[in-house]
Amino acid sequence: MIKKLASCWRRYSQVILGGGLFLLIVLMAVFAPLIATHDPGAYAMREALQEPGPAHLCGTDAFGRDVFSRIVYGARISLTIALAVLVVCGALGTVLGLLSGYYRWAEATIMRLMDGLMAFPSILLALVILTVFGSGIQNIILALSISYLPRVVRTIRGAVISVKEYEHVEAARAMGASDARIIFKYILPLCVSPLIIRLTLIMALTVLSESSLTFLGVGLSPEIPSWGNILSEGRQYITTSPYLITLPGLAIVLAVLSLNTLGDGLRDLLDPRLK
Amino acid sequence: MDDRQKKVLLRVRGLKKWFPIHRGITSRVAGYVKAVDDVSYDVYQGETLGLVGESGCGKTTLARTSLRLLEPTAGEIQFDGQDFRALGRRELRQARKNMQIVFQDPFGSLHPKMKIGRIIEEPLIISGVKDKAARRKRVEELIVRAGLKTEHLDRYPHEFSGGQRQRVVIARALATNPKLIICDEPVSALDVSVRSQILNLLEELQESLGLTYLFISHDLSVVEHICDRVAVMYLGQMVELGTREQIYGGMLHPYTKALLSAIPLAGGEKRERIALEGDIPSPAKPPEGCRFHTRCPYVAEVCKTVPPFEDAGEGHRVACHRWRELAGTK
Amino acid sequence: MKEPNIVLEARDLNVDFHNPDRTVKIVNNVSFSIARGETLGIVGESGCGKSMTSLAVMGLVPKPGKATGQVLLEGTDLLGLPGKELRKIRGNRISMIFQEPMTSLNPVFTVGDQLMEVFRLHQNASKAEAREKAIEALRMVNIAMPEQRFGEYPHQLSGGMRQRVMIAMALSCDPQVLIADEPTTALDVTIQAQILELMKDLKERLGTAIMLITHDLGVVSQVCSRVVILYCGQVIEEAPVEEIFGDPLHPYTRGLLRSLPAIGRREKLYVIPGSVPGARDFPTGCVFHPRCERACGRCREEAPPFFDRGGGHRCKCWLYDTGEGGLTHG
Repeated sequence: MIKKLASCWRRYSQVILGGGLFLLIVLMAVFAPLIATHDPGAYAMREALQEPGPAHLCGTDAFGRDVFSRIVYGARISLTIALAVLVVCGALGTVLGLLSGYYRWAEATIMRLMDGLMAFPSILLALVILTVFGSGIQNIILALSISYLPRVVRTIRGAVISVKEYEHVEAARAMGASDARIIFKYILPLCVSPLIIRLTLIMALTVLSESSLTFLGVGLSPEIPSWGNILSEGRQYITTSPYLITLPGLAIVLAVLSLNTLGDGLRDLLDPRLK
Repeated sequence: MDDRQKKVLLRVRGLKKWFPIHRGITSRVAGYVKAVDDVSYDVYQGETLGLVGESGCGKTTLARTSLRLLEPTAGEIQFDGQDFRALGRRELRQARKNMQIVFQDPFGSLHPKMKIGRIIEEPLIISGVKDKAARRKRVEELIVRAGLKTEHLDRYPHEFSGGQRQRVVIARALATNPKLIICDEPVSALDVSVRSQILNLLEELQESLGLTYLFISHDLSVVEHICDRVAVMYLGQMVELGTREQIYGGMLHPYTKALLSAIPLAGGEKRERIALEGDIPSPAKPPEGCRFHTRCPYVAEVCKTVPPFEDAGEGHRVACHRWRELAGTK
Repeated sequence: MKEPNIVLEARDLNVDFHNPDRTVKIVNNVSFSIARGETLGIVGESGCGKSMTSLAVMGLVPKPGKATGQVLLEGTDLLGLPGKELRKIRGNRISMIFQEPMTSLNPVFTVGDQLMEVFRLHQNASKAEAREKAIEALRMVNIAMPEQRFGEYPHQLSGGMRQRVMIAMALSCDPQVLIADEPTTALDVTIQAQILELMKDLKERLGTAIMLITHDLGVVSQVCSRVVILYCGQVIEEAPVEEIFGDPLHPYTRGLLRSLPAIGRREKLYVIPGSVPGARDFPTGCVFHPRCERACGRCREEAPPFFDRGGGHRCKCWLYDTGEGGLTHG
């Protein structure tokens, strides 16, 4: 029994740890009003720059806003963006990946376009898009989706190309199945696991990039309590009040770490060779 | 049987399938792999035609091209009296229900995430059987026919052994009552003791359902066991075609002789071998003239020209300049 | 059967795989011996433990497997040797060839480099000497134009040629024992015939003892002098090759032979019911009893010992128990 539990733990530990931690962060975002001790936007200049203590769990910033509450609400922003990018990338990437993997004619156009996008460092690409279209949540989502789309397309395309050669796909063709049926019934189900893994990792990257972009000043407007903004504002007080950047930094690290662990765990779990 | 044998189910004339070889960054066509090069044959209703040859001889490509699973480069195909090459995409998909394939690898040819019942049901759905209860009934009938049980329908392919999976593949192939079934090395991946089960099943089904098989195999003893007529291929061309008795009793082509003498017989007397020198040439650069002349022990000057695929009597056809002279030498 | 020139002997060889939840026995008390210049065939279907037996002899059982028993190479027990000693023996006194020569050759080095490596490693030859020996080795396995082939990469060679190179490499240090694991399974029949011929010829010239692992009874009948039949990790019958084919004793061996389609015999194939069990569910009692037509109560409960039928023919089946209360041969 103990042995069985142990082998179970060996297999699922990464998924349980990563998924569990990520779930906590999600719960924190969803129940932010219940968890937050203060209004994240409320200025209280008299309480400015207080060290962490019982009144303010993570201290206060230069305007006396409660850092803990801002981090809790920040999770909402960061996760919304990450989720939106995931949906856009996942949907668009799957369609483009399926097309370019299955049809030779689509391959040339789509893949050249994706290669073109891939040639830019993704943060630089996002910077350019944000500079052109201006900042704001929607534009951040757009910019990050475009930056990460090529990775999803490549993942799906690679999977499609290998699955396409399987005999069961040829069997379907020999039965007279239409292309749509072959793509959605015979190929897509076998591309799902690489997609899920890729998307968890992209979520982690999105959390990170949103913070970086905001920190660089092209992301969200300063009044939105995103993790990047908290970090960016705390920068000036780095020597006097280091908790202003270490604590939101820790939140980012934990979110990214949980998603990466989850992604790695899923990859090992879904890889039939490691079963 | 004689009356039915006269009915041609599949008629193939001058079939070619050339795969272009691309070179360089501009992908210019640098040549062709002539996987099937000018092959003509008929498959009669109710018979089993064996297609034998070594790897790379084009037997699989020939079968697939004959059914337009690969688009032919040239040639005529008639299936059941219909000009098969004239069909459009949609019509072709509809015609597919008349022909099915049993693949070599029973592990790869089943969708790993579909239940057995669904796998067998798929061809019915695709061919447009709308009534769900009727489909279910048919699936249950098929699985029993293939020698499995109805409770197996709710399991996944990975829960089955190779032989059982091959039974599922056969059940799926039978679903739409096809006229022709291509068996592409159906027993090569199976263990000896399971192989005979599948061969017997294929034979029983042929008897009870009047099926026609195009049976591809590299194993000549299996082909001899199950086939009525045998076609021998070498480097994309047919070199000999005849009934089982004609091929195994009085083969004419030197390649057929070499091939047959190379089979290691279990417990049989050690026969005189016709040893072939060297390897099979690349199908991208087949030898000029008779393609077998580089390895043929009876090569002569005349072999530098292409031999006709001529009738040696009673439908026995052979592509060799010297078959008359060699007929005496065994 | 104690012959003075026995080179390799396995005594009560066991291979167990220890998993956290249970231990699986893949090879169970296997004993055999090979004399100088003899070819022993080890035959069985997939999952019978034949490959694991060969790995155990080489000391290459993968973790978490563990081999116990004795493997005596001219009296030295290989299983007791430390890794360093064993490495000296592997490739030098025992060598091995595999089914797929492409994956066993390193694709980024030329054939010559890989052959020279063997001589430099095991015989401390100088570069020039090694080159000469490598070319000599290629010539020995009948490769035409060895000087030219020397500089080619594995992918430039055909499958048969690659297997020849593997054999040249395996025999380069003049080993006492050559273990050939399905050496011709991936090859075409005409090429298979060439390779088998080569192995026979080399065995006679060099006096190497060969342990041939195969599922193909035809191959066995062509090259082996004695045969060991494995089923579910056990030796169930051992006999000289003529007796295995002429007078098989064990019901499994008999079934296996009868289920082979043979040229010139067209009755319905015999079928051994069921399929080979996986290593986790090897039956108790006689391992073959669930599939055996002649199984009785005793077979279900008690594993049969070997019954010696004389002339080196022994068999694990209660049918041949001549002792009191046992069944007689019939």
